[in-house]
Amino acid sequence: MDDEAFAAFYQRNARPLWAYLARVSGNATMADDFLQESFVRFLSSQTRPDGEVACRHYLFAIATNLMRDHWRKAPMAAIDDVAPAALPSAEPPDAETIGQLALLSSAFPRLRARERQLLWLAYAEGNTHKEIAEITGLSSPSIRIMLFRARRKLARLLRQRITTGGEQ
Amino acid sequence: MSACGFEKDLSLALREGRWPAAADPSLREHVAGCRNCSDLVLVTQTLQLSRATMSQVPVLPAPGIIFWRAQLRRRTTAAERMTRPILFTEMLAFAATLAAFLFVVRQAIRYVDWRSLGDSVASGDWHSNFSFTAMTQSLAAVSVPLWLPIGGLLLFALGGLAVYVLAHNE
Repeated sequence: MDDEAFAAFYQRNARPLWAYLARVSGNATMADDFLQESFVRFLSSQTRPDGEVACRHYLFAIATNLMRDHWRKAPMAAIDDVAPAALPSAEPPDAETIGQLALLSSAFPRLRARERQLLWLAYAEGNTHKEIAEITGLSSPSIRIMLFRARRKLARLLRQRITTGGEQ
Repeated sequence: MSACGFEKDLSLALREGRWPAAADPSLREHVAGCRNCSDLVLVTQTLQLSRATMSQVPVLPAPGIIFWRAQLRRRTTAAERMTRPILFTEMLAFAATLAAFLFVVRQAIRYVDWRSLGDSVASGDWHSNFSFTAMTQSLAAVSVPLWLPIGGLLLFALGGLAVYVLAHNE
């Protein structure tokens, strides 16, 4: 991959990858580091696949492995999400968006790292079970079961917080 | 675990941004009464919103910097791969030198008459004992092969060189 092709690939995939890393790891600084390291490893790899989609899955697999290796060394600290107010967006998010993100920020850390990964890859990135299997190295049938349970758990946590928020 | 028959259609509608306005009314009606599908809607919409918002957050480094770092790493890896046999040979040379040195020391312990040498030192007769002629005469007297001291000196020199090369590499 030459530098022009890489620049285009980077522009398309860096932000979604950062969002995945930040949301799953719960640490924006770590997401910055892992983002760079993922791309460097991707470029340095001798076994890089061909095609945009395959390359994208390969990149996410590298990032997933980096997080897994990190968690093996040190358990994750509490999630410290980026405050919606700090977003350098051209259009500031409305109150409803901030509220919904705040709900997720309090519910998501209560899931296990693997659950966060699967949920993000399936519902934020829109990957199929087969694609998630390629990225995480898990088998498709176990992903189906784990994803179902994780989704139910997150939905319950979100509803609990909506109810609690409504009562307050 | 029970999957709902509508889940596939609902997932597609959510992924394509058709939910809820452009979705089939029967699907909307189903979701209102289905726990699985309402979970799917809640989780997908929340995570998609989070993805859209969080994608705006990072200040990304320039791709050129990452490309350069990757090139640097590739070169370093290639250089390491190329010098690996050399390093292995150096280690082997060091190990061989060490083994030979230990062998010489062992032989020296066996051949040299340490007691008479100690007596000479105690009597203060340094010059006669440490002059080259006296030393070769005394070595010949105790039948020490000539290769032993020469080999020892050579090994000291080579060993020093091997240690230097290893230390220099590190």
